[in-house]
Amino acid sequence: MDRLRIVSPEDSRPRQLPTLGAVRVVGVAAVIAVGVVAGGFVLQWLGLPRAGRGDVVAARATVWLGRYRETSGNLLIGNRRVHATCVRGWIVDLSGRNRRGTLLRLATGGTIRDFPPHTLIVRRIPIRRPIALLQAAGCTKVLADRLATLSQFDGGVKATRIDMDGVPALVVRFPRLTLYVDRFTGKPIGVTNPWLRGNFRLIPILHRRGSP
Amino acid sequence: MTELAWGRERPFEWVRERGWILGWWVAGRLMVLLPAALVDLLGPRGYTGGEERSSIFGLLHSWDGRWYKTVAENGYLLEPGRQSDPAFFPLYPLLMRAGHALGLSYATAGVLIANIAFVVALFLFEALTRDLFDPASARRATALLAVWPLGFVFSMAYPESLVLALVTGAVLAARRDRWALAAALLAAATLARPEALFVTIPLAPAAWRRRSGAAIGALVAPLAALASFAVYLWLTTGQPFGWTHAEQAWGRRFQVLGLVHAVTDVPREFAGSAGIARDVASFVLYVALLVVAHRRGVPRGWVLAGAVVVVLPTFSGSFHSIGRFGLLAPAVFWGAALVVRRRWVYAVSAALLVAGVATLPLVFP
Repeated sequence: MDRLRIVSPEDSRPRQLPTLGAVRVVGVAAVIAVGVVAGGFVLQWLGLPRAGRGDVVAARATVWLGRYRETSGNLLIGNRRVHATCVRGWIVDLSGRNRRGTLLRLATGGTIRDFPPHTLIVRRIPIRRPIALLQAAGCTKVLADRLATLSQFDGGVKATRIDMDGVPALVVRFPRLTLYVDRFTGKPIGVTNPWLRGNFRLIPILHRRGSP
Repeated sequence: MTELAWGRERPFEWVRERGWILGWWVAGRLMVLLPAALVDLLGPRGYTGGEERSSIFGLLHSWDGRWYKTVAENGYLLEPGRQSDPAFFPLYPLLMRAGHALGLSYATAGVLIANIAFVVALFLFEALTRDLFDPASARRATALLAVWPLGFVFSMAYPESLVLALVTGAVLAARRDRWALAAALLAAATLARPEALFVTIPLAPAAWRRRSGAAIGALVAPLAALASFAVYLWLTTGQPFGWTHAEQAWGRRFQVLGLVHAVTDVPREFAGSAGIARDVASFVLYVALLVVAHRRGVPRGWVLAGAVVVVLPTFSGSFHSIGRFGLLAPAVFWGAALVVRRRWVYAVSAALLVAGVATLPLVFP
């Protein structure tokens, strides 16, 4: 049997726990931390604008373009409708060397080779704005770079619903470039600029035989 | 311990005693604003865009200033794998937006905020240095800060001057046992630049000795501020750590051997842009001044915080922008003030400051 312990009156008084002070310190620190999180968030939420819906749509289109290397579509040059294919990868330049770049081929036989940062070779295409042509044809890297810049620095634009040749689409109007994307997937399907119009589809490279 | 302006001294006496700080601020800023205007009129265009050429002080809101303006104007937009604006912290664009609401352009508001924050930073830095050392050292350190070679950044649409003001204010508040104020200022500073977090290193011993909830709260506040930014990015971009993703597109990714890569890549980087030489020289100078500061008795916490601010970014594998990052390491200026006794050093520093402005169209800070 356990022995009974004699408890003195002093011992029976409630003692202040030694951890109480620590709990209080931690509590106050936690209140400050929560206050900073909440206050900081509210400040940002109320003080900063939200990115425009059009900017977000363009940013998603940029992600889509980053996943593909090839596009096929039609360009409206003047009143002529021309089929175009565009591919990004290793392209043969004028000296016969393979370089990373973009190649646009028109059904008329004309080509544009773009080797960043400063080389652009235009063959048999009577146009003064070859970059606009590359964008309208949906050339993935050229268009993605342009959209990324526009959505960051010319942002604050809206996305509006339209019907594009029977396809439910969203249209985003930046200065000098209008982007059309599939309303359901967000994939880019067309571009217009002050000089050209184009619609295109992104082609998975694995479905192609060989390399261009 | 020296009292602050709003302490026991009368305002008139306080201003009379510290009027020289205003003098250094005016002189230093003239050395930035006049060359910036001259370069705009006569100098090379370099990489500056049309927007920067639209005003006489356009150079001062170029480079990162453009990104801060984007945040203020359009909010955050994360573009995966690309350079995008979540890499830029929210407090400074918030203030730019407030300035815009008062009728200023975003660019003007940014430059104005930076320059006003810098004069506040100079006063607070002088008070802190006086607190820690002596009036003569405070005078030298403050004067050097006003004409520091990379000090043109304090006049640009960048948050460095704001962060310096908030951080020095926070430490002064903590030294006067006003820990709740210190917590608020540190949180605000961290919402402007993440380096403010490292000020908790020198504050930690004092907070630990104090053992109050407010003191510990001040140490936690910068982390809480980062958390608030993460929550905001999560709700607006879908990525709580969007700022780290965005910074990776600039090559800011921690690598264990980053410093080694930074050193071995210097020749290659120099071939790409000679501007890297400025950052390498700044790195060497900052490290040397931190060693001096350590040997001359600057509190170890401050030296350690300075070392983290200067050395940590090099672990991304590059020396880019170290000259600018080091501006947020007060121990660097204390180290300089402890060894600089000659007046010609100020003249050399001022000349380098002017030269730095002239290179702005070509080299980012």
